[in-house]
This record gives sequence, structure tokens and C-alpha cells, in this order.
Amino acid sequence: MRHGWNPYTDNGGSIIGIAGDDFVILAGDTRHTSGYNINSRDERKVYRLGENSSLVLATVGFGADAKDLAQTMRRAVEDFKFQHNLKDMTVSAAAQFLCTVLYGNRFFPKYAYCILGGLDKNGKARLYSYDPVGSYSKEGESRAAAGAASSLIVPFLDNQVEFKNQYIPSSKGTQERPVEHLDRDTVVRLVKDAFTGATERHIEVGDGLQIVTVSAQDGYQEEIMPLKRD
Amino acid sequence: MPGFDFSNHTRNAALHAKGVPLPKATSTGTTIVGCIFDGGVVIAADTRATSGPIVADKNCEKLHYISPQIWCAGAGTAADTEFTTALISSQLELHSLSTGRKPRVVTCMTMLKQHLFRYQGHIGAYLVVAGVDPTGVHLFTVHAHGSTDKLPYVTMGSGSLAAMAIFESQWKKNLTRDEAVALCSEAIEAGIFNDLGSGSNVDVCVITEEKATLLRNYKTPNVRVPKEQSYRFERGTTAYLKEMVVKRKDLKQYVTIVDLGSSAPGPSGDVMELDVE
Repeated sequence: MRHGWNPYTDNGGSIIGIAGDDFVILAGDTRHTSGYNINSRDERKVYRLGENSSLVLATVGFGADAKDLAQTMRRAVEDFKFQHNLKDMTVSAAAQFLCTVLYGNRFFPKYAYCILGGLDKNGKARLYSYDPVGSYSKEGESRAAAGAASSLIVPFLDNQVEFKNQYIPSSKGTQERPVEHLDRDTVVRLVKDAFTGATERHIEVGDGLQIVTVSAQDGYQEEIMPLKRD
Repeated sequence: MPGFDFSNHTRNAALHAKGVPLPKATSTGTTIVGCIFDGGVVIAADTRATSGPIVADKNCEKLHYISPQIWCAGAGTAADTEFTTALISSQLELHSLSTGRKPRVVTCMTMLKQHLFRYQGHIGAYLVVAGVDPTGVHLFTVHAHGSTDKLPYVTMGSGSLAAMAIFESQWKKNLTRDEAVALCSEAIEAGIFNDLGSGSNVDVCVITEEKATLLRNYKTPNVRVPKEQSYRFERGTTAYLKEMVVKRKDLKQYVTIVDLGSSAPGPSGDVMELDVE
């Protein structure tokens, strides 16, 4: 049997992002694994890109690459500020920059799935999600999930955020339930239920839940909630 | 002819060569332990069954009955532990009937190892065999390839290292029954919390000269927290293609109806999780 060194490992965990009208929520569990082992029960996956920034990046996949990307982004956002007369980098600019960084590593990829969130200059929420080589949608999205339990969480978010497969009861299944912006409390409840559910059925998800909210009114808020540790 | 059916082997090998993946068996990526005490033996197990990284069953039973005073904890391929223990249990019952003696733990262990060795490890059963018979208290481990061990305390499965850490730091000679139960359940909990293949609850079985006592869900340290909100959908939310109403009096055409009455208890078994407002 051929045996070679593998530069990547999968460190498990999951992240999700949901954009409201004027707020964006990014969340991730705080378990860091390799194989059947838990390396850490408090390794956060959501990073604020700068001390007073509205930009937030969540990453999963290979932990080392994920952390490195977060640091690259944080430095880029800070550099931008000093090079542009203390003007903050916009979300769309940060989004395009992250894409460039990821594609720059096209032939030795950073093995990390990213979700980038923030507020645009009108205070409206923006959310972008990426594959490891930088593919993303410039229009952004209303919800995104990545990582080990993404296949468990995405259908839940489709149903509860975009109201997929839901019809107006009186229409006998002819009229789809219209999509509307959810309020902040509802989104936080959905995030918590998504993760307690994923913890039940995925062995790599658990220990803690980091929820980061960026809103026009209240700025940056962070909450850590315990999850099951088994 | 008794035994396994190999008639699909050639077809499956050809399919596999063409790139069709092998089916994934449910494994009980597990923590199981056993420990002897003064007057008996304790075995214990966690209750998580996995299929890859997905939890297939949150509360499965890994403690298997062999004979009234011989029980077995199983790790490895779920179906293999289930069928191997059932097969040996059956053979041991017949053996005990024909000899007119109580079955012995060594007999059980020997039958298991000979069965497993014959299949060269292809039957993925990793077992902790424990029991009390006229020759005394016994505790063994049996590996899928047929090797066995006889020790005062044992662990197996993916959580075996976490569990053994507890035994190696806390085990002592001449334990009492309660001390042995506490030690075994702590060893299982070490597996539950530190090994991703193990989780949920602790099952314990205590076997003494008099009887065997199965303590199902002896500990439940991983109860799910209530959901933040209800996910009940308003009636009519789901689209449907066709509607057919069957009147109660016409039901007999389709099913057999047994009236249980209002006071009769409902069907037993694990209760499903329901969204209740």
C-alpha cells in the first residue's frame, strides 16, 4: 500500500449564517476534532475582522487553514483602513478579496469553507458563502451552512428561513408561502435549534455554540451557549 | 445448509470492481467494559450506534443475553454482535439441555472464539463475555479474529482507551458490588464524553451467584434540551396531489382493526419525539 503524508485533516464542526433585513447572524459550534478524538471543546470558528468592524467571518474544514484565512482577512481589513484614510472596507469589497485569496491558492487550496457576513453602507445585511477555491455569489444569500453537519442543517434552513415546501394552507397546495425577513429573536431560536439538532445526530458537533450578531442598532454581540458534550 | 449465503459474492465483487461502493454497516463505535467484584461481575456499555459520523441510534442496546447468568457486551459491526451472540446463546441452551448442566462462561467464550476464528475476522464482533457458573465468576474479551483474554477488568471499542484510563487509575482488588457498578459506569462515561464514537446513556448488567440484573439506562447524562420553539405546521401547509377519505366503516377492507378500548395501554416501545404545543 502506498503511503504519503497528507497536508490536510478534517477538524469537524459546523457553521451557519443567516441574514435578516438589518442584522446578520453567524454561528458555529466550538468543538475541534480529529478522528474520534476531541482536541478542544472551546475552539471558536467565528472571527470578527477588526476591533470596530461590522465584518464577521466563519470558517470550517481544516482548522489550521481556517485560522490562517481569518488572520489574512483581519490583516487585510486593517491594512485597507490605513491605506484609505481610515475608511472601512465594505462587505462587498471584503467578499471579493476573500474570493481572490482563496482562488490564489487554487493549486494548493486552503481547505476551509467560509461564510462572510456584514452590513453594507446602508446598514443592510449581506451574507456570502464560499467553497475552498473561492467560488461565491456576488448577490449574496439569505442563509448558508457549511461543515460536517451542513447536510443536516441546510434542509432545516431551507424550510424555516426560505419557507421551502410550505404552502398557504387555504390554497390547497397551489400558492407557496411568501418569503419574509425574520426578526432577530426568531433567527437566534432557529440557530440554537439547528445546532442542538445537529448535536443529536452528528458526532463531530457539540460542546458549545458561538453566536455572533451584527446589527445596525446594536452593533456586534457575541454569545456562547453550552451544547451536549457526548 | 446452515450458515452464510455466498451466492452474491461474485456479482458483488464485479460490481465493486466497477466502482459501486460497498454498503456501509452500522457500527457500534462503542465503549464497553467489564469488571469483577467480590461475588460477581459487572459489564456496562454506552448506547450510541453510528454509521460513519452520523448517529444511527441514540439509545441502542449493546448488552446481549447469552444465558440466564451469562451476558455479553458487544462492539464492532452491530449486526455481527447481534447475530453472533444470538447464535451462541441458542447453541449454549441446547448444549445445557443435552448435558443437563448450567452453561459455563468458558464454554461460551470457546464457542464464540471458534466461530469468529473460522471467519478470519470478517465477522466484526468484539465482545466482553461475563458470567457466573458452577466453576465461579468469569470475565473475558473475545476479538473478531478469535483471540481471547481473561482479566479482572477489561475495556473494548473505540472508547476503550478512555475507559481503561479510569480502570488503571482507580481499580483495586476486592471491590464491592456497588463500587464495581460505580467504577464501570464511570469508565463508560469517560468513553461517552471523550470518544466521539460513544455517547448517550449507560447500560449496566450485574451478575451474581443468585441472578443477573440488567440496569437499562442506569445513567442518562445526555438528555436533550427542549427546543426553542414549536415546529408544528398549520394543517394544509403541505401540498398533496390526491385526497381520498376512507370512512371508518369501510376501513375493514384495508386493515384489521382491534379495538383496545380507551383504558387499555397503548403499544409499548420507545416513544417517538413529537412536537407538542
